[in-house]
Amino acid sequence: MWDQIKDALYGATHRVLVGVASFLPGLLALVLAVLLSSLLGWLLGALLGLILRAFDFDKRLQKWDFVVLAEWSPKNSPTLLLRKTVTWTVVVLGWLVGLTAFGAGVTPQLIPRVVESLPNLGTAIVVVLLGVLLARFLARAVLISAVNMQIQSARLLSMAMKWLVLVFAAAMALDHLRIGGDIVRLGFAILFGGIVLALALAIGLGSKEIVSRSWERQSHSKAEPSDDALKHL
Amino acid sequence: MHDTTASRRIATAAAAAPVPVAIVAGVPSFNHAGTVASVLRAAQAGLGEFFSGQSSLLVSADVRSNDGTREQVRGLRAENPLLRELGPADGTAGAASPSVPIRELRMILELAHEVRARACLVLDASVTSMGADWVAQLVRPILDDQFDMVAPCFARHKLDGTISKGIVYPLTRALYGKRVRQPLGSVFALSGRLVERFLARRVWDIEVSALSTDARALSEAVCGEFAVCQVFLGPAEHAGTGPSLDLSSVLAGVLGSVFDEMNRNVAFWQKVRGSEPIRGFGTPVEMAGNAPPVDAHKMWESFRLGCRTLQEVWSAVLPPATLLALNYLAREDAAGAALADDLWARIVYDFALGYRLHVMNRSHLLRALTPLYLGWLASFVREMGAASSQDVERRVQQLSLVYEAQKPYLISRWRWPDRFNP
Repeated sequence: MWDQIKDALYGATHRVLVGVASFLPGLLALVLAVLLSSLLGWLLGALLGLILRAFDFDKRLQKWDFVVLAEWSPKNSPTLLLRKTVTWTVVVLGWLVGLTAFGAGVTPQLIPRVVESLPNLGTAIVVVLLGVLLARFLARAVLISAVNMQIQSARLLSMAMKWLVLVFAAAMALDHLRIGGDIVRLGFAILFGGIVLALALAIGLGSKEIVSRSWERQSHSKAEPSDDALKHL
Repeated sequence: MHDTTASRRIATAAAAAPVPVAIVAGVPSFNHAGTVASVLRAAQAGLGEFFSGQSSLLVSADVRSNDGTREQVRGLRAENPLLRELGPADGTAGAASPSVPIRELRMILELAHEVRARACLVLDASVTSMGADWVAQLVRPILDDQFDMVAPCFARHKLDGTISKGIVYPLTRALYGKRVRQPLGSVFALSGRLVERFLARRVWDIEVSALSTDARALSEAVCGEFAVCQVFLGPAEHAGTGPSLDLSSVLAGVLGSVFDEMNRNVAFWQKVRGSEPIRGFGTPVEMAGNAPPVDAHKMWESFRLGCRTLQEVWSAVLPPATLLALNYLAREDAAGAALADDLWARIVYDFALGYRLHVMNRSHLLRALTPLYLGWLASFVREMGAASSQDVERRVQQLSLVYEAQKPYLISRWRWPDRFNP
């Protein structure tokens, strides 16, 4: 009886020790991979930071009208943003390597899926970034033109333009990532249609007054003073 | 580079002329079918009447008109076989550059250089009021007094030419130190050696707005230390060709070129202090009739709308103190408020700096100046509405002095845009 208990205890201890022995190298490999990747990430980030600062990257970006990156960056510094992106990319890669070495059951499926979705994720990020750039550019163009045309609701028009482009870019990115499927398309169609309808109504109702004012101007005295009478050049 | 057909035509025109030629009078045109013939006739009459003893060439340069301008010129050649025509062969016109007079202007200068002309007169094909005497007035200072560039000073209504009065004249005067009253005069005469410099420095190879070729010519002449003078001419009436540009497009076109010139000539204008008068020929002509009534209130409201909505855009260009002053002004109504001269001069300088630093898309930047310009214009019109032409002129001179006084501000911001930001 005592021998059987001893065997069972020995067996259990052996299994646990074997389990721990097989588990520990993986755990150590994971810890080592994370530590090394953190160190490497920090070093690469610091190196990139030095190079970008030497090129005056933040100012150059501002000069090229790429202010959106600065706005979305910590402390308004695209250099810092890129530095952190590089650091964290290396750290995440280190985690993936560690998890693979650890041999957890989920990783064999997780890693191919992550790798597979990377190009789509990259494209989606580019689409969103371009969308944000275009939205800002068009919003500013509409705002300035509307003010120069003396349209009182210039800011509203500019905001509508900005969100129209942003929504369009977001829908394209989500569609590319195959997130949401038909719901995104349907939601986008409803939202886009709604914005266009709202704009049509706003412009239609607003134009009513403009048209009537224009008729009034034409029917009243033609010598009404205006800045159009000036030759600016 | 222009096409080989045009080069052949320049060579043919030069070969047919007795070298050296004293005067080349050129008319660059683009869709000026209604006016080109009268300008060419006036130029021909001027050459015949005042320079009959000297060899001269009358040239029409047209690269891409499609409204019958070239047919008009060919019709005129029947009357005047000495008229030369520069341009591409039929059917190649559509491929030309969109900058209207540049290629044509360059062709005229090349021809003048080829025939070693002592004076090259460039005329505006859209003018409807040109007299034969303009040719004599513009060319004589070059032939008789050894000037290198003659700029026109047309008679204008007191409130006309406000972009020139409020921005271009005071700015170019403060920058280059010469008081050329109408830097956007649209016609000018050049000496042979200045033509040579223009071609050597490939001045017209760089894109420039059709509205400000004369401003480029002037800045090149002044920065090259050439002798510049001005002549007082009568009124210059222009015929419109095609749809007229809106105010913000005009401002963007003119100021874009003036600011480009600023960027190209930094080393020169940073050394210039104050300004000096240039010699003027003839007598200033008073414009007959009253100036049309102008609605200053509407302009002020445009300014206020800009202040309410364009803060975000302006804050990329203007320093906080200027924005604060503008916000304070925008709270006042049209009757009592005025944009002070020093504030206006600093705003123009700040936009020039913003253009240089490329703080945003340059077209957006220049168009964003329109409400501010209308604010200044409203102040100017309210102050000068009842004044005489002489008083308006005195007021423009006073504004120009303020631009000169504020030039150290421009230089400081230009040199240290990050550190000097009041």
